[in-house]
Formats: sequence, C-alpha cells, structure tokens
Amino acid sequence: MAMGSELRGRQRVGLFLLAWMTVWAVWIAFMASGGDWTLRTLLLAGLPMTSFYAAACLNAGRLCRIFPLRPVRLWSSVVNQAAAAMTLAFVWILLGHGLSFLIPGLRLHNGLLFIIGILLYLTAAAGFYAAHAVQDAWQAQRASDQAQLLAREAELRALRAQINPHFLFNSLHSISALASLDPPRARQMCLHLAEMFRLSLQLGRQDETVLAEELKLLRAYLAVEQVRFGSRLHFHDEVDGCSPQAVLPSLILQPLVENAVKHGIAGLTGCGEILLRIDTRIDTRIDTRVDTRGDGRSEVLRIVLENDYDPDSLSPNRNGVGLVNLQQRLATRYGHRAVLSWHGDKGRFSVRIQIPFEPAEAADPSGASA
Amino acid sequence: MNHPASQRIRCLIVDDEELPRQLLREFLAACPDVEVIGECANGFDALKAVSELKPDLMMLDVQMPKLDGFEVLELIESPPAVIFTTAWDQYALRAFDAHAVDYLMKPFGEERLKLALDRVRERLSRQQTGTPPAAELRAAAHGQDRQLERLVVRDGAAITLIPVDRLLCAEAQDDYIALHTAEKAYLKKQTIASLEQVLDPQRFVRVHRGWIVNLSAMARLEPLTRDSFVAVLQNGKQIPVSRSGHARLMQLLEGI
Repeated sequence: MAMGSELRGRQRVGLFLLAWMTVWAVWIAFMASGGDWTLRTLLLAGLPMTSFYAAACLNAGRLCRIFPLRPVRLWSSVVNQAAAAMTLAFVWILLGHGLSFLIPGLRLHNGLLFIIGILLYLTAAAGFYAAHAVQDAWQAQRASDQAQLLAREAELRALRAQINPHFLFNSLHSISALASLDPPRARQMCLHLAEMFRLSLQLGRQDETVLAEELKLLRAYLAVEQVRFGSRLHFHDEVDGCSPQAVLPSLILQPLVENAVKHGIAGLTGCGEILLRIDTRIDTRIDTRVDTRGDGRSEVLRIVLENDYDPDSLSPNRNGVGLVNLQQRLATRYGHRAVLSWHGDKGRFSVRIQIPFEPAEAADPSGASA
Repeated sequence: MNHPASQRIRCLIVDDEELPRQLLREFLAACPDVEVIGECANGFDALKAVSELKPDLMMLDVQMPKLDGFEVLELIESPPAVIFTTAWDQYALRAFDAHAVDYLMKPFGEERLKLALDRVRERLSRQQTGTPPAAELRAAAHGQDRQLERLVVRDGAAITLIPVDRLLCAEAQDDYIALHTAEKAYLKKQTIASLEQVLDPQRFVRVHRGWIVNLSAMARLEPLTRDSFVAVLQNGKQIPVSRSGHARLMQLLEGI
C-alpha cells in the first residue's frame, strides 16, 4: 500500500512536520559544524534545503513498499534503496550548490552533506520498514481473527445443520420403519448415521481438512439419504486421482450436497440426479502472485456440483444464504484466488468452486491436518 | 349413516417417502377398523385420490414436493379427518388450526398413533361435518407464523400456484376474493381479512375494506376527493383507497 492511500491529510502534515523538524535540527548542527554560518544563510538556505529533504524522505515509504525486506529479493532491495539514498543526497548537494549562487556567503561541505543526506534517508527508510512491519502484522492478525470467527460460525452452522431435527428425526423414522421391514438395513442405517455424526463432529473441530475426509463424511450422509429417498436419489461422482489429498476448509462438501438434496431432490415428485465432479487442473488465468509452477500459472482444485430441482418451485436459490456464507469463508482464506459461482436454470442447479490446490504433506498419513 | 361401532375408517396415506408409508401401513394393519384404501407420494396425487376415493381419514405429511400438506388440505372442498405427520414441530400450531384431528411428530410409535385414531373415531362418531374452511383456520394460525410464499387456487381441475410477489392486488367479491396477477385474475373462496393476515404486512396493505394492494406494484397515489384517494398500479389499474387505508399506506411508506 502506498503512503498516500493509507495516511489521511492531517496525519500526513504531522508526519511531514516531524521529518522537517528533524532535518532542521540536523541542518543547524551541520551548519554549526562548518563554523562560518550566519543567521541569514542558515535560514535562507535552510528553508528550501530542509523542506526538500523532508519531503524526499517521506517518499521512502513508497519505495519501502516496492522493495520489501524479504529473503527472496533482499539484495535487490538493499541495492535499490542505497541507490535511492545516494541519488537523493546527490540532488540535495546540487540544490545546495544552486542556492550558493543565490545566497552570497553560503559555503557547504559537499562530502559531509552527502553523508548526512544518505544517513537521513536510510533512517527514514528504516522507520518506514518498522512501521510497515507493525502495520502488516496488525492487518494479518485482524484477517486471521476474522477468518477464525468465520470458521467458528461455519462450524456452529454445520453442527446445527447436521443435528438439524428435520434430518435426524426423518432418519430415525426411517430406521423405525426398517426395524420390522428389513432389520439388517435398519442396523446398517444406524451405522451410517453414527459415522456421519462422528465425522461431522470431528471435522467441525478443525479449520481445514483433506478432501478425502470430506468425501468420507459425504458418503456416510448419502448412505442415510439413499435409504430415505430410495430410487428418487441418484448420486454420481467423478473425483480424479490427486484431488483427495487436497487441503481445504472443513465441512464444505456435505452441506452443499445436503442443500442439493433438500432444495433439489426432495422437491421432485420423480427421481433426480446429483452430480459431483472434482479435479485438479492448471488455472487458465495467468496470475504471477500465485505462481506455483514457475510459468505464471498455478494448480487449482475445482469442485462442480449439479442437481435437478423442480423448475416450478418458488426459489431454486433458496440456499443462496448458505452459498454467500461459503463465499465469505473462501474469500477470507484465499482472497481473490477462490472462485465460487452458482446458477439455476430450467430445473438444473449448479455450484462451482475453484480454490488453490494445496496437497497435504505426504508425511501425514492420517490425512487430517489440525 | 354408519353407526360408530360398526364404522370402518377408510384411510388414505400421503407421504413422499416410501418407508414412512410402509410404517403407517404396518401400524394401521393392527387396527381392525381401519382400512388403508390408498397411498399417495405427492400433493397432486392426494387431491385426485381424495376426490375419487372419498376417504374418512387422511394421514398427511407436511413437507412434500409440489404441494405441501397444508396446501393440499386448503384445496379440498370438504376435507376428511386429517392427522398430520412431520418431523418439523414448527407446524404444530398450524396443523391444529387447520382443523387437523391430531399431529404426529416423526418418529412416532404405534401407541401414539392409536391415541390419534381414538380422536378420529370420536370425531367421526359425532358425525362432525362442515369443518371450517382450511384457509380461514390457516390464516388464524399464520398470525404467529411466517408469511406465506405462495397462494394456491383451484379452478376446476386445474391448480395454480401463485407466488405472492406476482400478486398485484386482491379484491373482495362476496364470498370470494379475486387475486389479480399481471396475466389474469383468479377467484378463490376466502375472505379478504384472512388473506390479509397471511400476507407480509411490509409488502401488502389493506388500502380499502375490499382491497389489498402489493406495494411494489403501486406506481402512484392520487387524491380523488377530500377524504379519499386512488392508488394507480404500474399497469394502470386504479384501486380505491379509504381514509384509514391511506393512513396505513402512509405509515408504511414513511417507515421505508
């Protein structure tokens, strides 16, 4: 962020006055060390000399953003800042030289002025680096606080959604029916229901997980719904080989599919299909900021969920609220690198998610990262 | 007329899920005086089955595709006794006010169903007929409930679902109300007062004894006489606004 955008007018004036007074103090000391100063030369030359340099030093903030002190480009930054310091000090000497033509009796020690100029600039730069570090840390803290808050909310929502009376009571009712009709299936459904609750409680405690865990929860959930809806629910998925190792925020997939069942399949008199496609691919948008392959492109994880819905129903986008929440969650974690879009038309609703592909560490065989 | 002792209860099961239907069949098989005469998996089938089979009792699920249980009940001219079944307890109040005999929350057991059937027998033995129109009772229940999202209208065999945001205005016509949409007007047997109660008061205003208007369909308000106004809709239709209707309208518009 450039200085101009982050400082309000009054702050900028204050900062300038501070820099100006500092340069004045140095200037007076410098002239005093020369010995042959008068009040006239001190003030007449001092006014332009100090004003110019104070303004110049404030621009160090902008250069500090352009040349950050990061390990990757440390040397380039140091060289550039040194060059900036020398250039400014040199221009300062030229200004002093010009003034000495206008003000008789003004004699400046060029070598000393050059060194003072460089030191002043570097001091200002150091100040800005420190200020930026504090500011960045503060912003990162705020972003992470917000991300945590959103994750907690998502967790609560997810838990509420899964211990949602509608789903639980209907499932128990189905088990009750199966208990006499088909006892082995009743038992099977109990196990699926238990698995689903166990997994969602586990995932609810984590901010992120691997896709394989999300898929496990999804299958347990679908096994339960399949008993309830029978032939009305057709689920197909295509998941490519490397996707299951992808790290992603937890409890994303199952709530999406639950929405597809609730607002899609449950509203159909006949049967309906839910189609889930997950793959990793090279992002077609060129973006050097997320360059993971060295050619300006990056690998992304793409999740596409499609479901049938009753086109006569009032609002196919009724799950829009849930999707907006998901969008916030993804944006907090990935910024502009996450893409979420949804679209409902002619009885077919689709949701697309694209996030950066982050494979889990191979050393973590359990797959779940805390 | 059958005597209560010998009366068989002819029962229709309506639920979009198969297992709950089978469970009800199993439970009801243990009741010698109850005969299951049919099963329906959605609201449309239920309407058809009711008019063809004339059941004494309907086991009615609330959440179903196309038409929900309340809408089904609203569209039946002289409904049979109804026991609602649902996993949602938020419908309990509405169910009772929609003159349900009882209300079973899933999962329910055989004993609870038998209690409900006792109430059905009692009601049938009292030969209760002329139950109040479902829409009226529903409106009463809606007072504390969320607003309706759509209205159902039966026109002969055709059933029309009107999303409330497509309703421009409603006009009282004797025992009926005319529901005006951009395409056409539908007649429904309901009072305007009960319609007013189920509509969102932030969007629909009773501007006159006989008129409700959708605020978003209104273009302007013009003075007619010293005391009365006329509301002009975007399609040019003019609606009388009484003095108290004008006050209600202004109160709402100032609040926006």
